[in-house]
Amino acid sequence: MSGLETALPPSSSERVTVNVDAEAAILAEAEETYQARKLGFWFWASAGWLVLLVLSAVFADLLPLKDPTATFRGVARDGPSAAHWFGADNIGHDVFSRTIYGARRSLAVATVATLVGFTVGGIVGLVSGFYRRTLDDAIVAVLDIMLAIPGLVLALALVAFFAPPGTASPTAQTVWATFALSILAVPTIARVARAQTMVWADRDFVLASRTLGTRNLRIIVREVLPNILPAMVSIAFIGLAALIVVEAALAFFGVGDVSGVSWGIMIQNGRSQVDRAPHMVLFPALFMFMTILSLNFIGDQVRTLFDVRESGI
Amino acid sequence: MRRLRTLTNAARHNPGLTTTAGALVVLVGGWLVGLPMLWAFLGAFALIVVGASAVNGRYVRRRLLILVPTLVLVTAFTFYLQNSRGDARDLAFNILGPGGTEAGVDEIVQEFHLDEPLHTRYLLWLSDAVRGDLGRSAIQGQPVSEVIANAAPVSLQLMLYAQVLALAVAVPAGVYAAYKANRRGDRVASTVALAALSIPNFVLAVVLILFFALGGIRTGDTSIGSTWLPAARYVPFGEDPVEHFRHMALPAIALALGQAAGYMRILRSDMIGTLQENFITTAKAKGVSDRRILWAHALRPSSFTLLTVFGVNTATLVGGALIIETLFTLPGLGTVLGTAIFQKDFLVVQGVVLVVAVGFVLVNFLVDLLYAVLDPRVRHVRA
Repeated sequence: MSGLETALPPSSSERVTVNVDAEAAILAEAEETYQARKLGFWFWASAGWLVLLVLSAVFADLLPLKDPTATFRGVARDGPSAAHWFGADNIGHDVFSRTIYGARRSLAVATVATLVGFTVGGIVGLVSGFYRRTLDDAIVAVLDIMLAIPGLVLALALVAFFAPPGTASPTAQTVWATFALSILAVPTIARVARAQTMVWADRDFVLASRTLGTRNLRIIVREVLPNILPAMVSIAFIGLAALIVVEAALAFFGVGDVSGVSWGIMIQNGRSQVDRAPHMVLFPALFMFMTILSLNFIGDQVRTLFDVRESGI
Repeated sequence: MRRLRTLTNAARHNPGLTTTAGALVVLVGGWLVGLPMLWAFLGAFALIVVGASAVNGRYVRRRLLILVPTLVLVTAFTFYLQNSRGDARDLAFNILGPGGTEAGVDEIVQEFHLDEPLHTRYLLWLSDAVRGDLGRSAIQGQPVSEVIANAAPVSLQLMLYAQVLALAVAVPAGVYAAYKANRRGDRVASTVALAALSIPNFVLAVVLILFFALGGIRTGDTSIGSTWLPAARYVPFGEDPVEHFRHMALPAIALALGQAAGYMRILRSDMIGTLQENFITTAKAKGVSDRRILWAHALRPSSFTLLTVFGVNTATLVGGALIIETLFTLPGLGTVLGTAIFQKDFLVVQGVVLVVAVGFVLVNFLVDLLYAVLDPRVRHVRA
């Protein structure tokens, strides 16, 4: 392009057109970057769904919902109606209110586990990626071993042995289920945090900070941490989605307090009734699907945003 | 004679590929001859390790250095699970199952060395486990290893079918999405993939059962759905191949969809990278057709990440297979595990966890070695 320009005689009109073209290209590129960085409709739809779900789960007691444990007479296995929006299950529970109340347990267990994984995994990853050497080797070996047992099998084994269904109290089972899910979350998040820390700790601004005599802890917190957060948040959203599935899967195997209300328990109870009352399964399954899709989508979007900023510099 | 010499020459020049082929022969041949599965696996495993060390000895030694402590810790964890459940007498009651007497308990404490310290018991247990003795299920009245040996093939078949199906869907879809990168075709394919990734496999399984096995939803006169495929029961392949695949169809689809979506996304992003390289531009300039560029030029260099993930993914696949089996009442490891947890048959739970965990560690180790053996870039680094 520039070679062509110099070869042409410097006529003023020509140069103007060339300038306009260049400006248009830059504008188009800027527009493209802007479009790519803008959060689209589906991002806000996903976020809206999650906010709505969390709010209604938290404030379920204040909402005009039917009692999820009440059995209504004469409606067992009836499909959706004006009185029971999502129909009723095989013993006359209201499926709509159970779906809302069920979100509580599913979301609470998975969220607590993700937060634990985020904190512990983040610290482990930062330390491991920042100090490297022997400490890093040791931590990586431990993480590899934690990942050496398939997640669901590990969670099942922990809960089945340490809080066996029928023997342990419901609270103990829930606590153990949450603990088992946290164990699954830690190595995944730690690996991402470690890889990111290694990238950012090599940047010049970290070296500059070190040259100024900044202590390691301050470098980690002020220079590295803010930069690795987007990747960690992204993986946390995707991990949360995965943990919701594992939580429900535990209910399928009958471990981790199956006496309460949760999506996994509803699907598990409903599948033997699926030919007569499909709505017992379909509505909690739909809620679960939309929640997981939203989480995956937001996780993806956060990562895309983050990538653009990386390459935009 | 000369052909034989050419063959041995080839074997010397490419030991990795030769031993891998040999391992496959051992597996298939062993199956035909009726060799016990464990022995065939061990033989194939040893062959691949030998081949890989011939290709890249340092790498194999380093991996072995990690493999051994991993195996020790995984087995110790599994052992500890069982033994965290109380003192010697509680454990003896567990082994006896319902109906245990005081005299029986004393006998069991003797027989199982339950009065020894924990680490001694671990070694005793490990030496028994290596020889295939995982104890006896009090409830099923059968050795645990026998229970597992009967169930494992079903799980393996299910996983195999799901992987084949997932690749068959994911590769064309990924290539197409990369070809149409960021245009409408890609947007649609990628959105579908994200949605497919977000359907938990057990939800998909229940929905599939509803619409393809139980006749679907009926509202008034109209009904959506069919009763094409069976939703439960297992038919061994040897008994009736057609029925076998008909019974495996729905479980395999339920397990494969999420996997396919994951593979498609990986292949798509790698392929988009490859399509921007110079040799693709060269091929285009020479007038090679798009179809040929995609399948003959771009696919192979784009598929290495896919292959790695294919191996690593066994973990999700194992978990998925366990759930799917319980839903379709296939007599695999998942059903065994679920029943054992329900019946508090802890020796069986322990056995299944041990076999799955150790199998998974070994498979990952093998995939790493195979990768070093088969990827020409890794091979040439050494040469």
